[in-house]
Amino acid sequence: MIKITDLEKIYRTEEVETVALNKMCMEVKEHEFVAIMGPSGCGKSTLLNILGMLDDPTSGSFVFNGAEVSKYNENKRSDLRKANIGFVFQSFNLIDELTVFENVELPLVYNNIKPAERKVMVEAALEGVQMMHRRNHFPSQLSGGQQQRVAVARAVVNNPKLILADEPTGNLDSKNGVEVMQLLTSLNEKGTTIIMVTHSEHDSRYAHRIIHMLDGKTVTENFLKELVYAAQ
Amino acid sequence: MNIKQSFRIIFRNKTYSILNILGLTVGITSAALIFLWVEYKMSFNRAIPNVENIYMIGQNQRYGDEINTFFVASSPMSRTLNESFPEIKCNTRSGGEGSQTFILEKENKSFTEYGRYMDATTFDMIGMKFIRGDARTAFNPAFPIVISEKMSEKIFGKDDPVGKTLRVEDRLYEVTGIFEDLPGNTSFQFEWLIPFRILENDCIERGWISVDHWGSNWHSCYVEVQSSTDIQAINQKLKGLISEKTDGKNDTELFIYPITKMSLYWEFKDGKATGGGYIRTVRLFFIIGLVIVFIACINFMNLSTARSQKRALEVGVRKTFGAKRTKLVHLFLNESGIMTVLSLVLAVGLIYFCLPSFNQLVSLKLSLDFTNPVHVCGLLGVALICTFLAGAYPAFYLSSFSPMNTLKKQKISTGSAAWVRKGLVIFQFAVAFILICTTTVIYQQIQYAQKRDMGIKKENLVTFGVTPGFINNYDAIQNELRGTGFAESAALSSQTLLQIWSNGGSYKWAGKNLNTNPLISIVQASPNLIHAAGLNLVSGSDFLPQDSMGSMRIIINQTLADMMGEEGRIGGKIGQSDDPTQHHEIKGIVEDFVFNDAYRGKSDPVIFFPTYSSANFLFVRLKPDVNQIEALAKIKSVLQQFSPDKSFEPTFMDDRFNRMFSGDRLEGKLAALFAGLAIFISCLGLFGLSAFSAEQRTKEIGIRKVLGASIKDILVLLGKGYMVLIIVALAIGIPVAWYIAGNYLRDYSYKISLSWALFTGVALLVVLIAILTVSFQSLKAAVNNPVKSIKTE
Repeated sequence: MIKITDLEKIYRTEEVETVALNKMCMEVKEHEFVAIMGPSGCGKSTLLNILGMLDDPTSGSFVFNGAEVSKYNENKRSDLRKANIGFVFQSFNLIDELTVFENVELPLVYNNIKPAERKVMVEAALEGVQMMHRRNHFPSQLSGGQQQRVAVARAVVNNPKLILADEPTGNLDSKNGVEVMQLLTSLNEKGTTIIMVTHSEHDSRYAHRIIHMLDGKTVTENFLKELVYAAQ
Repeated sequence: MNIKQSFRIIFRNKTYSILNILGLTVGITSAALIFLWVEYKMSFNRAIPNVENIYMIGQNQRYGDEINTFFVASSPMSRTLNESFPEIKCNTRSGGEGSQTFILEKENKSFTEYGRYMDATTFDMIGMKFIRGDARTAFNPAFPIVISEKMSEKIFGKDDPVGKTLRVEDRLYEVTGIFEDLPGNTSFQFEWLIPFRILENDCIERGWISVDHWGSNWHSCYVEVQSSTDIQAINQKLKGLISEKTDGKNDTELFIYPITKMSLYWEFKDGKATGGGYIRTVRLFFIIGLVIVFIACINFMNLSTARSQKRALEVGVRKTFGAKRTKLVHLFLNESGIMTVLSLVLAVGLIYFCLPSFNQLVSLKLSLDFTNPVHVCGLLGVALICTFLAGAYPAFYLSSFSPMNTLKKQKISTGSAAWVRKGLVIFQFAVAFILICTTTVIYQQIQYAQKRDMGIKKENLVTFGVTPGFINNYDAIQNELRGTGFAESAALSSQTLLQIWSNGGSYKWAGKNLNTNPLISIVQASPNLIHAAGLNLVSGSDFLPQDSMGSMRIIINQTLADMMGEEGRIGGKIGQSDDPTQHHEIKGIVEDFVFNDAYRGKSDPVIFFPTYSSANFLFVRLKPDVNQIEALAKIKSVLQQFSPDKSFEPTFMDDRFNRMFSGDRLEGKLAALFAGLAIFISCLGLFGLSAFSAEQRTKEIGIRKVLGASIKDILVLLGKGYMVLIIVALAIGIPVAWYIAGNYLRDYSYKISLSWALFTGVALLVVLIAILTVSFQSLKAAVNNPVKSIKTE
């Protein structure tokens, strides 16, 4: 599904040049659950931003679903992103002014899905994370764990092929953290590819494979489980 | 859906929304009031159906090197237009404008109403509608009068007045028609009309005018041209008319001028309309209206971009989940649109609330009319402009954020927006400063002229309007007045002396430079006028009773004496005749006094003639320590003994004088009002900005306090940035205000000089207001418990 080759990302300011990704190579297959680990500043987040098409690489190749996307412009990336990728963030990033329902609905609005259809999909997604009873609440009225469940619902509502999770449990206590990880695992079992950046050894064990990064490239890869194709 | 969300965003950010909506509401209301006033001024005479074809006769008279333009006509004018100008459909003469007291004989009631003498052609020309009587025959009887619906109701109630008579002095007028009340805001404001020929005959009988003299202008003349006539051709034909009729003796040039332009474009120079006049003031206020809306929009822009940090995350999330930039621009424009609409609704309410007071201020009856497409489109237009002006920049700015940065909660760099924000704050305060300075200068200038020594002793001086019948008894009246014990002195005059509307040229004297021909103002005076009016005699003496018996003695003012050189002395001679033996002899010279324009430096030349048969005003100087109410009552009763029909309303000279400034004072008040509003709206913006920056820096303030900063240190820290902006605004504002104020004063020769004290004073005031505004928020932040503020994140 994803193949990156010799990917480089260099940040330049007037005085310093920072190499965030240094000829990074990686491949992720469909239905895979990959955890990316590494110390702060090793390039995990940069990688995730490029995979999420929020940022473009300085050089190298990035093939997504067979298409070379590293040279795509903003609009094309945006179209590809909204159709295929869901995001889960460490700090949830729900919009304060929108209700739970409206937050989850957001990706559907931007994918031009009709209101009636949207309602069905949002309700299904909220059922999936057991947040249906809170559909009319605002984020500030929810606990951290609840907010992250809403964020997960938002990430999956559009049935994306890929979910990118950036330390999804970083702001949660362990009980809520486990719940979110179980949610992600079950999504993966239903066929969604997941790439997750994490600092937590515990969380990484939910993945099929752990990629350890240092100084902008892969240093080790550990395969934890066989990839079993889940029934669609 | 989007709208609902936008509403929610507006309601959840109360401070921000209230500041914006309040600013916009006040801004739109101010602008709407100004625009209503401008509309009124611009629509002068537009209510007349056929206005495009109606013109007024104007004259360019040459006096030496100068050409003076007057809208007057002489007796042969109308006749000549009828005879030799087929392209002019009709004309009407107009004169004798003023209040008359009408007596309803049977009921012995008197009514004083305003009106004038005009020709029957007027009815059709200005579209008067007759409710009773027939316009075609109304002026046929010997002494007819047509009256307005309002006047008819007042005098006759519900009765049909046609055929009834109204008496003025010893003449009976037959009511021959009632016309529908006339629209306001036109050149034609009257409750009654009497045929012009009656006025003309009276004047001829009294020997005041000559029917054939082209140079004796004593009335005005309106013409209606045939539709689609070439106006330039008419003007070309009119130009040499008087010269032709007088065998070149009189070089006055005639022209016609559209009556739609009479109130706004009356400024003439060298015989040509300059395109200026009151329109300059109207334009100025129009611009002030726009600027105030813009200042309110600036608040909107600034508060939006200042809050960008707060909205950045939302933009990031929306973009991550697929929102394109155009969608976000829509979202933000939606918000500004909703805010504008809310403000507009509030503004309409506020306009209705303020209109009565505003109308009182401008002495008009302005109203907001939702059936008037101009008003509806105007309001919607303002709303649309606000939405885009206020919303567009924030929309494009906020939607430009990159999701990657905002989601990481990195501080987004606000470089460009911060600069724009600073620039706009500078603009707001510079404008507010300029408005306040200019207003203060206008105010000081009016005060300065009002305190001026006019050369006339205005105190205790009362004037009454008089009629020819009254003047016949003048000797007896004088005795009676003296007998009351209240009057110190009394005299008759053709002019109020604060204003002199009669003048003439072609005066000659020994040693005169023949290339000059000054226009001399003329006053007809009874004995004792100089004394009664309190004018100062430089030399010679006041008129005595024997002077009025056809003597050739006159009194002149100092300006004319100076102009006459050697001959400008007691015993010197001056006259219009070529024969020096027919000239008048100077028996007195008075100090210059100010008339017609209180701002003029130098007086015009004046001659007082010792005839008073055509006097219009009785001057009575009250003794200084008498009870004025008692004195006026007594004097009125004396006067009424001689003219029982007249009500004799007294006018104090002080009031006449103050009325000379009513226009300026109105403009001054309007400017002050809107300058105040401009600074108020600017402060709302500053208040909002300082609130957000204090909020954003809560943590920083906490850390500083933990490290030992005092409240004062924090106030300085937060206030410093804004003070720099205010000072830059002042640095820009001072020269601009100086220039504008200087330009304003340029039109006056009697004027204040611009002082640094004024500008410094206003600058300090603006700084003080700004400090108060900013400190309020900063103080809140500064006194916060640091432990709390550090933990906020």
